[in-house]
Amino acid sequence: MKASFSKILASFLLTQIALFSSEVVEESVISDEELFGEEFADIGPVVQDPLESLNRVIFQINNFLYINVLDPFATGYSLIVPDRVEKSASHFFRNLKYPVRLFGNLLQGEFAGAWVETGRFVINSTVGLAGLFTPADKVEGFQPISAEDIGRALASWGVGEGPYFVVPLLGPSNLRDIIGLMGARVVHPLNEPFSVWHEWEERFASGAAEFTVNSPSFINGYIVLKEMAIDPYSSIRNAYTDGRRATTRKSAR
Amino acid sequence: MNVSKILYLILFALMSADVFAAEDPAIKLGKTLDTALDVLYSHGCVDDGDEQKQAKVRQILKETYDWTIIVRYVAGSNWKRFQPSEQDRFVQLIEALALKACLGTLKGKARPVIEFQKTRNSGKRAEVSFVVIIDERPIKGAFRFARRLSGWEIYDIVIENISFGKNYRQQLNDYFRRRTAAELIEKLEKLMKAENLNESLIF
Repeated sequence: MKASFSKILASFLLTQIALFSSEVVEESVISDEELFGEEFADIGPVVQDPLESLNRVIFQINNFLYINVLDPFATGYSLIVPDRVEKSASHFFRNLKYPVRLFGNLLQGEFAGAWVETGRFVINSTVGLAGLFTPADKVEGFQPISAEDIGRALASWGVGEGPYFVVPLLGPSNLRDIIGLMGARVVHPLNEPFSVWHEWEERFASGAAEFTVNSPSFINGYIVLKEMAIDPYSSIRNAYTDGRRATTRKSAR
Repeated sequence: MNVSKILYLILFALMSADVFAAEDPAIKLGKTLDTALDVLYSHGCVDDGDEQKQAKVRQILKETYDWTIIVRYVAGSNWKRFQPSEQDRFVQLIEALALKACLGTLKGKARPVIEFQKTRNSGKRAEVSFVVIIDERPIKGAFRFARRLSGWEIYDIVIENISFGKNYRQQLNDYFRRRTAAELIEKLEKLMKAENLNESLIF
């Protein structure tokens, strides 16, 4: 009698627990409506693109140049140049952009960021042989930080992104970032108006070298987005805008 | 059955329900990605062409995760614009194109190193952030998971602040302002042909 009572009690309890457990499981499962009905509350304002027709034409021209000129060029560069040299060249040009990152930090009042960038520049320019290597990566307190720029500084001041533009050769941008780019040219040591190069041939050569060095990573990212896209123009416009909005939100904090 | 056995059973049942809610999706994700990378980089698969490798990777991912969830999330309210047969085809086409593009980024490069960082679990959703190092270049991202009856399922992937789901949905919203689902399927099929994707290996 005692044994059968235990069995009844056990089966009753287990049934209750099974019901309870399945309720717990079902409650913790997301419904179709919750998951697929999400309307991206954080999507933010839509991209202002009043010049879409013109932008699409420039996008097509850029696309033709990227696929037919830049891609073979970047592939050839990557094949010919050993990886180590490729990386060092990339580090070198990144190091030269230090003033842009410095101003980007200072204009936002990010003195800690300005300090890290300055420390990295000093270490990489000296121990790292003019920036070819990045020994600062291993120095406590001087590891790489998010690269600030003047467009992000303008965003932190509350300047809106303005209309979207496709810039010939350079690709996606917006009015705020174009202004930021012009500001960056002012403080960049290899660009006019305060370039260390005096002759146009020198400026052209250094610009071409920087473009060459940056071309493989640029073209890789471009091709991935384009290959996956239903509408490449829309995909790249939205990816650029979302990426910039996310980084400028971080800058604005 | 004595009281202690009953108590053990109760405890076991409660723990099972709890484990279901607390399981870290990063564990299964890590194993799946490792297996997929083995296909791409192990010597055993050295004779396989790109398409064979892609087909194997697709199979591994399909056995673990449901692509329909990712694609339905991508489509959002646009999902209803497709006929049921078109929905299946749309899932296949997006899956093939996305995989091709992702695997294309690894071609000719050393095996990437994936470091999983924190997992944020809010019960019904979870986000596993990671850094993948490709050619010494760190790329930040996150996998977003939804808890379904089948377990944790991926519904979105974010790379360098760009959400795959959001980006596609914006494109679809733009596309459907002017065109239909049938036209979209046709366009994606043309894209497949342009990318030389072999259907017999992919589907």
